[in-house]
Amino acid sequence: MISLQDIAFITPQGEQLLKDLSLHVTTGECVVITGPSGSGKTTLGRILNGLIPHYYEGKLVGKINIAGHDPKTTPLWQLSQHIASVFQDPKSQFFTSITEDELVFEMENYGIESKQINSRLEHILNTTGLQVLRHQPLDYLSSGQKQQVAIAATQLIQPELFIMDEPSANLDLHATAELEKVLLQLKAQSKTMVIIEHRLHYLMNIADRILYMKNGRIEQSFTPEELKILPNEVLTSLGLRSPILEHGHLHITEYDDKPLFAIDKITIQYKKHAKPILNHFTLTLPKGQVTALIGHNGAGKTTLARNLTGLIKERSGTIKLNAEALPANKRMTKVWFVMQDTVYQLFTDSVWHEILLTHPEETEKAERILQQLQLLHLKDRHPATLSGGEKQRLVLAVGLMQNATLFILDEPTSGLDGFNLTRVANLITTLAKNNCHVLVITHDPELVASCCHRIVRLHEGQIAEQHVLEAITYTDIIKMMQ
Amino acid sequence: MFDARIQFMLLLLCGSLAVFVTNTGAMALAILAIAFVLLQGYFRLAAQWFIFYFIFSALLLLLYTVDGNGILNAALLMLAITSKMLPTLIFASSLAKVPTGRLLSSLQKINVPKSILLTLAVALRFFPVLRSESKLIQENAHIRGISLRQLKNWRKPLLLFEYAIVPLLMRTIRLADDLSAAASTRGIDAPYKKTSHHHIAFRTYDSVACLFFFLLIGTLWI
Repeated sequence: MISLQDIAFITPQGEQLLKDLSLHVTTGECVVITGPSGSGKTTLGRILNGLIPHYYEGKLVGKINIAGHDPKTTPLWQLSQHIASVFQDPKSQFFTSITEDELVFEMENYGIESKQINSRLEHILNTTGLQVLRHQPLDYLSSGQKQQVAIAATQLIQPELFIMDEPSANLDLHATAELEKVLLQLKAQSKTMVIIEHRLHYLMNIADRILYMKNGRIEQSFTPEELKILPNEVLTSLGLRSPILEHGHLHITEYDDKPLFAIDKITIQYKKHAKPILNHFTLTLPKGQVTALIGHNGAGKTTLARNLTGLIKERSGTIKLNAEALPANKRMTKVWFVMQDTVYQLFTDSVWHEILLTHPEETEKAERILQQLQLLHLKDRHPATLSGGEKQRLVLAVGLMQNATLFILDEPTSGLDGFNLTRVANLITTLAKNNCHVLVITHDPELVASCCHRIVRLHEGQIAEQHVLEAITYTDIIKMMQ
Repeated sequence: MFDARIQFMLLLLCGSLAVFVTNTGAMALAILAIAFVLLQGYFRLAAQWFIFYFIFSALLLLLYTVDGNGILNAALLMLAITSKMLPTLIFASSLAKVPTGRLLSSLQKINVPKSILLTLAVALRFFPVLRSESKLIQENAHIRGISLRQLKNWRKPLLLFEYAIVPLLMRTIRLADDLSAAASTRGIDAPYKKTSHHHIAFRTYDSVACLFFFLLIGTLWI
């Protein structure tokens, strides 16, 4: 199905992303490609679905045959009839506004008769269980449902090969389990799959081989069984996420217990809603601690974060900082929110201008903070040219500059490899030690285990469970997050 | 909901008529347009337009009676032009309720060229994105104290503009890039004649919409 021989790819800027890469995949096989960020996984995926050389330019050498075609000489639309592509973020792959329109989009482009379109549509709706979502606007679906629609949409053209680039990056554990079922279905139909992924645990029943990439090469190959028995130290040194969901160890650091923020009986209700999102919600956030905030979509996590930041006002209740009431309009400087996508939070043309934006006088403090977050050497760079992790640190630095005492991080590890996960966990620990409290909204159990002190599960605007990490096991965390 | 093709035709007709009709004619157009929205079952939308149009016209009439100076006359001119455009906007607001897939396949059926269709498809896909992205950015700007909503920032309009536009561009360029990459793996530029799963056909109720053709043209004589 796939045959790549001695592939090299060089970008127009002269950067070599792949070298001496060979890959052979037989029909019906499922190959998982993993490895640290920047190892060339995404580039390889783009070669496999034809986006390189057709969409992204650069110098591509080597012999390629995919589903019987040479991508260099076959137009992309022709290749796409055999290859299904699924991407990380469903938001950027949908082209219509309603589920069923999205499902048939590709068939319409290929001019397939409407009779056949309708019969295939019915078939896919019934076999995937998407019938209930048929007329739903795509904007209303959860991330998991979106990804299901995205995968179903590629199936209608009946491709032989599936190329997926981090399909689980935006999903919680529950949605990831659903994704696993969909992939198992495809495997039962003997479809060939290449899945690029950091999270490995859900692929252990699906993958035939796991390839480890580093520096633009495929360096190692494992079977799922081999990967599962790799000692922890080896996984860490390779920068891999744990291949077994239930295996993990808690890393508990010491902490203070002096209250910093006190959320006292907060009620938040939107005008058009019948029920409040948060109802008499009470939680204390002590100094020097890290709290993990978990729960399904719509449980109220984001609403709580937005309320703490002061973007939404509470109907009743108070929020206190060091026992003093802090109204919504005063909270913005004390509470700092780091979004999953930091692009929204950076406004200027250099790291230095960014950090001084609202505090142009305090250059000494700015330098100290940049030093602490290992950003000082990047002082003159444009924020857009920084890596994801560097941007995240820069946004944190801006918060420190404002003397914020509560930091809220939204999914800080989505789409990160093992190395970067550890880096983020260390950063959070450092932050908490600065006499701050860090509230982490996450669905990543490895992150919870590596840096949090408490775990709070929200359900329908209430605290459903709350534990100190010392008192529970890693398996308990998984259970809470499922 | 009426056939999107008829809605589209009516929109074009209303747009061109607006140039020729008198002020009273424009008012008749607006009433027809609101009736058109109402007939499709969008009661809320129709009511909103009705109230808006009523207040707007009252304001306009009031201004006519005032013996005004230069600035007032300029404002009056602007309002008068707007009053001519309103009926078209009302028609457009009901067309905007048609799901994009159905709208595009309807337009395709009346042989709108593919290049225009594709541009329209992308534009329709992108407007809501622009709006939601821009809202997110403004929210973050607000937290940083550099948003458009805070009056003190208007002392440095150029900087303010930069803070509003640069992140939006950064973000949308990337989204647009991802989106067109995804679209090209799904045959967006395949050289076939596109088909559609929407059954686009003329129904009996649509003849009511056809009546509007004559009613609209009738406004020329008012």
